[in-house]
Amino acid sequence: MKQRRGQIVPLRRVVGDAHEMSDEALLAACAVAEPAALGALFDRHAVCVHRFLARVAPAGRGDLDDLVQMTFVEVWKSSSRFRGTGSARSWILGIAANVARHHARGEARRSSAMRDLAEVPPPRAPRPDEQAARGQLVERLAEAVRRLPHDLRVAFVLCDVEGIPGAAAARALGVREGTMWRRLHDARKRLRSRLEGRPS
Amino acid sequence: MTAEELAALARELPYPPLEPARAEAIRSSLLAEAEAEATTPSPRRRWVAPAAIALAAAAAAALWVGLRSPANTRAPELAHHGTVQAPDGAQFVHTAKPTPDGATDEVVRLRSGHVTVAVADVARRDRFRVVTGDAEIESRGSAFDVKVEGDELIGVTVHSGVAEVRVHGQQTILLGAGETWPREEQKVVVQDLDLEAAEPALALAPAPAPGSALAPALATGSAPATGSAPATGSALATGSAPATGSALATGSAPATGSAPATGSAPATGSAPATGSAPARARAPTPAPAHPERSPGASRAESKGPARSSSSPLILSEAQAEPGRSRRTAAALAPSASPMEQAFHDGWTSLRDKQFRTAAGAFARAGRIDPDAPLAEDARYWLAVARARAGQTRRAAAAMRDFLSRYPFSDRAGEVSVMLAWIELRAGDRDPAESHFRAAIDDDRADVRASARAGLDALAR
Repeated sequence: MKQRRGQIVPLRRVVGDAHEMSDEALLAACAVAEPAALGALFDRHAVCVHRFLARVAPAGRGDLDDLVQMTFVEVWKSSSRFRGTGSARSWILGIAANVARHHARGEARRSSAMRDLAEVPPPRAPRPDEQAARGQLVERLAEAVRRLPHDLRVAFVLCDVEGIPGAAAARALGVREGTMWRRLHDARKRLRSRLEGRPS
Repeated sequence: MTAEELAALARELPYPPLEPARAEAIRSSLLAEAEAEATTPSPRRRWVAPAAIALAAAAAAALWVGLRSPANTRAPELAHHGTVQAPDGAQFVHTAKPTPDGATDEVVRLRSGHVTVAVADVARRDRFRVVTGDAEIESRGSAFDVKVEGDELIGVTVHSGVAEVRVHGQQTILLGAGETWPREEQKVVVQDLDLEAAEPALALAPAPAPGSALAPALATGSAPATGSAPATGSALATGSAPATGSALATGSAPATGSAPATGSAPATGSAPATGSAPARARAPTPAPAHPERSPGASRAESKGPARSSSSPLILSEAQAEPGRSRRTAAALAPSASPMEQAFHDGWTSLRDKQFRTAAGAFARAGRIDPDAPLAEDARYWLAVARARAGQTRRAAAAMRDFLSRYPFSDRAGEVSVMLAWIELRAGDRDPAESHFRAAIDDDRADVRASARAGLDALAR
């Protein structure tokens, strides 16, 4: 018979309905291996994480699903390290950013540009409403965001799109606050340049 | 353009929506992985134990040399009130933690399996609980059995004293000696089973054929062995957590609740498995063959033991016929064996769409007598129930287990196809192709078609 190794674990019980608990309480419950808490966290933040990853990670749909799952697996594994110094949401998005960075590195190593190209849907004809100037501007911005270096893109999406405060974003990414602000500043500057047709 | 304008524009950036079906698929896969993580020691922690032991030894040596005071090296001893016996390899953690007011909070965290608990008189301030994913049983002095499958409470039987059963979302129940939870009146008899509206995984998995392994094969002389298998394997109890005084006991030997907070040596106990029991003979009853399974059945007969249907679980012919929407099962006979009872419970839960509970019951049925013909059906339905429960990885594991045990089963093709689709979804293309190919010549047309569709999907 296979014999398991002993393991010391703290034991805390999730009291009450997981869906009524705060994010912080759910993370604490994850730290003592309560899958229901992870499920509740997923229900709350999956859309946000998915949206964030879609904007920062150049991935096909299948890869995007995997990245979302990997993010929450990391949340599960790292939940005991959550210190509550920022919001749980910014902490989770920080993990997602790290997952996206690892993914980007792996993709670069594998030189999978061709595969990415194959997964990118072919350009579609612009709809009438997209002919509007705003629509064109958004498309140009999307292209400009895609061209940003990964760290700048993460800083921009995390702070300006997802609305995470700079200090919390810095903590979530494990960088100094000054570094975060510099990245955000650089990202905005490059985006403005590209939108206005100036060389960055 | 100001930063605010840029941010406002950026919030309009398009992104692919996360459809509910995809979210559910990710969620199921995630939770399956989390459950697997929860029951498997993390490789990253492997270095922690030796390091902790080394640190503890160094600290103890320093204290011994520096203070020469035995009292300073002894952590407070916690009273243990309960003993836990797990004859069937249950997974549990037995902890005792001091509370701020000096009392002891003793908890058995049971994830799966069957344990027998004996609790001596618990002091007024102390507590003793068996905790599962969805319930807890508290006792101040009693003996009781607890069964858990998939982290869900399946049943409690009190032998002496009183135990309090608190199931999430239900009223607290007080059980006295001889009482069980769930109570008899809560049990449902399988009567109607509608598989027409079943989802793909189950659609590929038709109702058990009367001529198949639903019944123990009397012709081969094998019958469900219902016996006691006392104390198999060994338990490891390590106690080296002075902060909480908690210890893990995982395994299947009697683990008495006596892992002290200061103990550092593993306390192991092992006993040989002696699980023989008298076979129970029953009269066979001929049953019609499954129309779709005739070729497979004949194949099975040529390769394996002939199967007869003598079980009180035998379904009517209407059940076996594909296309019939109403399927009726006979009520379970009073003489049903524990294996048949477990199988029956699985069917009941499957019909009620309680897939995790069904999986637990089928897993139990498969364990009672692994060599009985009914075990093949139990393992097959275990895989289906896990798939329907969204436990993708566990479903895949159950399917692989089925294929390794019953490579010549007339269900091997459909299990191969189900497994292949799961693997394809997970991006494991090579094994998926292999499993699709294994089913390409299956006797059943729908299985062959599914295998071809899978190979086409791989080629795209």
